[in-house]
Amino acid sequence: MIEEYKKEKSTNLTINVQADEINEIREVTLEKNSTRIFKDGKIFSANYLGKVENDDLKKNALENTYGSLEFDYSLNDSVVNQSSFGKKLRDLDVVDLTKDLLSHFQKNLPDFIYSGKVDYNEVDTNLVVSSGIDIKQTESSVEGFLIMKRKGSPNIMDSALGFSIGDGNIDLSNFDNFIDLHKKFDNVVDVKSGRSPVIFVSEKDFLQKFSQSLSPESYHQGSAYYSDKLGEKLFNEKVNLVDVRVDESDGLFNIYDSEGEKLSPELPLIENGVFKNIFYDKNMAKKYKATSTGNGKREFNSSVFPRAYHLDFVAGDKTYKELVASFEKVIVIIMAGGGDTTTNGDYSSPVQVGFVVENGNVVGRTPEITISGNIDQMMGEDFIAISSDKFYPTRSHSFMCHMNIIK
Amino acid sequence: MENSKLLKEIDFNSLNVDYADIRVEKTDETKIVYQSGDLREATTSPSLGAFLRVLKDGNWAFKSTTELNSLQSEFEALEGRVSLLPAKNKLSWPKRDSQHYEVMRYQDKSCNKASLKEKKDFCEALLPTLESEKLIQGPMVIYKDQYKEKWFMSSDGVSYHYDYNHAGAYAIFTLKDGDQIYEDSVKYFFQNVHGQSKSAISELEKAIEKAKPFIHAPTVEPGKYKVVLDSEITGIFTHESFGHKSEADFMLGDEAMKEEWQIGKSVGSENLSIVDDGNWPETSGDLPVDDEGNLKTKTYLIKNGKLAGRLHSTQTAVLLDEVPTGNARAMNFQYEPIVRMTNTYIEKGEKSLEELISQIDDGLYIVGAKHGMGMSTFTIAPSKAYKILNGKLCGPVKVSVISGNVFETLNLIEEVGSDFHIASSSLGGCGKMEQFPLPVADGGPSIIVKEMTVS
Repeated sequence: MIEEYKKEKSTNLTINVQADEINEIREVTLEKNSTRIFKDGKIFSANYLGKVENDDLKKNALENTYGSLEFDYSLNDSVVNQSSFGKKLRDLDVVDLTKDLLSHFQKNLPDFIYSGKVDYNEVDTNLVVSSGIDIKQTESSVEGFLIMKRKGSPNIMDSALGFSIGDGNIDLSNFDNFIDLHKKFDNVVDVKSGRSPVIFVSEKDFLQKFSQSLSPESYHQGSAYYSDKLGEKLFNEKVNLVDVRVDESDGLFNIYDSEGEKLSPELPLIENGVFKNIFYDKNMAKKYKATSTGNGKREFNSSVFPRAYHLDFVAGDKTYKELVASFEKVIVIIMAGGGDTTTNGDYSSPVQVGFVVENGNVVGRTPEITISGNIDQMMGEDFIAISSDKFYPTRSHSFMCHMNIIK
Repeated sequence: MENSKLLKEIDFNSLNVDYADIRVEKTDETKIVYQSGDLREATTSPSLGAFLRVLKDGNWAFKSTTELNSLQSEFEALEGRVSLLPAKNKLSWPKRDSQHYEVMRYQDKSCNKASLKEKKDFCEALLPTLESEKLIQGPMVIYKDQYKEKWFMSSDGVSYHYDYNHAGAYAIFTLKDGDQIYEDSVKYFFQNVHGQSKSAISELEKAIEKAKPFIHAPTVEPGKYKVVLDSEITGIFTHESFGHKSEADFMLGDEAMKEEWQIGKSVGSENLSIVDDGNWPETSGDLPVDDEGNLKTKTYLIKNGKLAGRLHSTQTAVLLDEVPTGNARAMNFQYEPIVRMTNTYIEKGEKSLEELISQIDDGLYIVGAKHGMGMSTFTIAPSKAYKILNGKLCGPVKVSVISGNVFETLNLIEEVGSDFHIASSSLGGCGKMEQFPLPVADGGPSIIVKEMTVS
């Protein structure tokens, strides 16, 4: 019998911004406990959100016979690690960071009303497995978002931005491109139906069919869009996509997965246009005769499933500014939420927040338009480039391709 | 200690604040996942936690904790933490009458009345149907339930104790024929699994047969179409298009909007009435009293095409000089209540679905929804769509999304059907700010919309 215990103690301090005012502060302190008992080819599990003794968890797990899962793979051993990431902040530091962020936007874009949150998280995790795993990790990070509503607008929101930082410091100049676009928010310009270069500054909803293909069950059962395509050159050779596990400046601190598997900072998924990897945890790796990619992830109250950490394109050669300046007219997509992809790979989405840039100059905001394309073509013959820089202070590079514009 | 006694021990009078309250939530959840016939998860997750609020000088301080033995000292700590925020004094708490609400409706029929084995048996009963269809690849069955008890007490003498319950499942399948693929699912919603298997299997068999013609269906030619939306799509449309706009927090700080968004303003067709009402037991939007102790009222958002009301928390009602509607809701004990919907629907009309379809010369019948989103443009990803020609349903077409401008579309509703259904879900829900998924339900009748963008 092998016993696994995972304890996660977290403190989260959130400063809420509501209609231009910093008027709410929230602290959440949680203790999450879980156990998995590996015995006689079965995994017995139990969890509790709150304080609980390990003996009680073990007893509950062993009594939970109907919740047991099959188990026929080997567990890791000799994994001992203690690590600490991020920078600890005081309550007042988080309040001040929120004030700085809000006043920066109020000064540069005064015609908007701002709501949102700044979240500071401290998490202590301890994973102990009697097969020989003892991983302790302490991490601190800050993330947040602002929702923007143009004064007098009937919409619930007119734009939004997000950020994530690992070191507690935010360089507000990283929002310059975002601010430059929104200074022309009130100028809605005419956009004609037809083909146009489009740049997604951060959003990757169009990758839905590729992301689904990274699931080993979907991939091997043949139900994924890219089933049986591993190793094939599917896309433009300048398309490189990775699963990012560690990027300390952006608050990504995953050095082990939930099964104690050591992680490389990045897992290549598309390399020079070639489909390189799908995700495996230990169970799926055994089932499909593969090797775990370290994507075995689980919440305290769930089983292990192969999941992504953070998908991002690998930086290209030109900055966002250079890319948009290299065409006569470019549609810049801040938000294209609510889109979907058919089973043929045809992606379509309304542009919720978009701008028109002509020869590098921001002209104005797009009217209500829909963009459409096919994922194979967007990353194939219609592909233009991936930016060398990040549009927001978060790990996400911009993606540019030709698409159809429907007015 | 019993949770109600725990709350009674709080000494609100000792706090130097304008208002304070506490909400304790005890929750039991079960999740079961079968993937390609294998059991991948069967977890029961119990939790007990509290959310504390204090209001002082116009600012709020909140605390969420799983440690319930030091609640009084947590309140005292909040007194200090709230002073970190700049004093505004804009928000004062209104006078309320002392009141206790006791609404325990689900103890005898909750999802907890079924054992984990019975819940697994329900899922396993669906597997042979999925596995016997040769065209199906990698089917999944996901079951999820939740039974929750809530206790609340405030410094102004309002308290409640009520329960909430839901259970349900998704049977998800991919049909593949050659290189053509079609994904579909069947959603189930009930209070517990007892007696559900037979009808669930029958429903799944019918759904698979209905899905098969979509494998080789052509993709719709993108453009504007006259559409009939079924009740599920109507519900999502109602929620995404107008429901979110009715949440009053979006008006805060915007004087121009207060002037523009006056009650009585014409915002839609005369045949259109939209309601938010928590008083629908056994739906996922069931809410007798909100998370700050205000009774949920039936709220007309639009009545006969005119703006009739909006959804409020106490805070938005005070700041906009209106009355709370009982719509302050939190996803769980880790979050503060914010303005949210409950059951949101369009009231039904008089014509049958068949009559609605017969009125269309050239258009689409849109059925079932995968997801939706609402900003200035709302979008819905439908499950199925059929061509309508000369008043008759024709073949299936693959549609990615339907979308439209919210205000334009509200005025383009030509007909409201007599069929009516509120769609609940045990798995999904509504997302706002960081709180997702909050259980809600939405629905209405089938409707005709004169023009929608389909792609």
